[in-house]
Amino acid sequence: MGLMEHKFSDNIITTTVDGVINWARRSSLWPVTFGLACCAIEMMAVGASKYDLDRLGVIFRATPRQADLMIVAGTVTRKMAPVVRKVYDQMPEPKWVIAMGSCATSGGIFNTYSTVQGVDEIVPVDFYIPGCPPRPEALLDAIIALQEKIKGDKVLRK
Amino acid sequence: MTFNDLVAKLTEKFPSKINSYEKFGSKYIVVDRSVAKDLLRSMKYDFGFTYLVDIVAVHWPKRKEKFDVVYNLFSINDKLRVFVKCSIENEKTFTVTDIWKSASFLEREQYDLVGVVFEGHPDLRRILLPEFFEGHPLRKEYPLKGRKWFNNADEQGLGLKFTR
Repeated sequence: MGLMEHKFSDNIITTTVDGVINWARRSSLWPVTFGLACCAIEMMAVGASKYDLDRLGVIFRATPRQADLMIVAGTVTRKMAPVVRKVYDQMPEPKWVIAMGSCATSGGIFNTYSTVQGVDEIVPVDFYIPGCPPRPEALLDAIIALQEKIKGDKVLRK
Repeated sequence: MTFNDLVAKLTEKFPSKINSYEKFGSKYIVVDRSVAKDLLRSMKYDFGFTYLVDIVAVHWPKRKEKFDVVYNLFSINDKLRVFVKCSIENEKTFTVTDIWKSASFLEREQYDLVGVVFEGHPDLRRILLPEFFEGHPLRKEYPLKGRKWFNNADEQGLGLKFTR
């Protein structure tokens, strides 16, 4: 920004369009609640007052139409698989997915006849959180890592 | 009525057809399948076991009679819980939906998971697993990791493919 510096009055900041868009996107990540098992309890704990996701601009939405992040928290069964995919398909772009817990990442201990061995068989996953269930800090870390990732997204610059 | 009174009265009614024992603090009546339905009906209408808590089918692959059906009955008046056990031939047995209405879902569950056919059931379909599932997963010979059926149906037309 060297050329434009000090050319405007003090209350004007210069930046890029991408910078503004990415700032807006990462500062208001609205996840759709997709709690399937015990990980959902931990996810709720992160949303509640002690860990308080609201301070990161993360507000849970009960509908995929208003969400840009899906946190798959828990065991995905074969019967649930088309539902996960449908909810993902209903989310508007841009959208991200966090697979929370070992069940969602790989099937976990449920190497059985009914369990999908990792939610990445159904939807593209951005971040995997190990743990059974993961600590709230781990989910917070994943969301902050996702924010870092969004920082580097290219919207107008190709 | 105590368990011993109940057994005495049932033995009188069904001589040499029933056996009873107590184990691990639970009370069991083992009944011959020829009189099993009459006994269950009598349990409800004569002895007040109005609450059918659960029906469980057990698979014994090495035995001649391959399945046991266990009825978990509770008498609210007598605060008495009795397990009625009955071994069955092949996979077929009678329904008790005409005695306890609640048996409908319980029998469907056992049909779904163990594959016992309750003859006379008004609507015997799978209840937990999807319709395109093959086999009965709680049978001893069912492979624990049998996920071949995953790709049997694209039930919502989403083009899902499972590889693991």
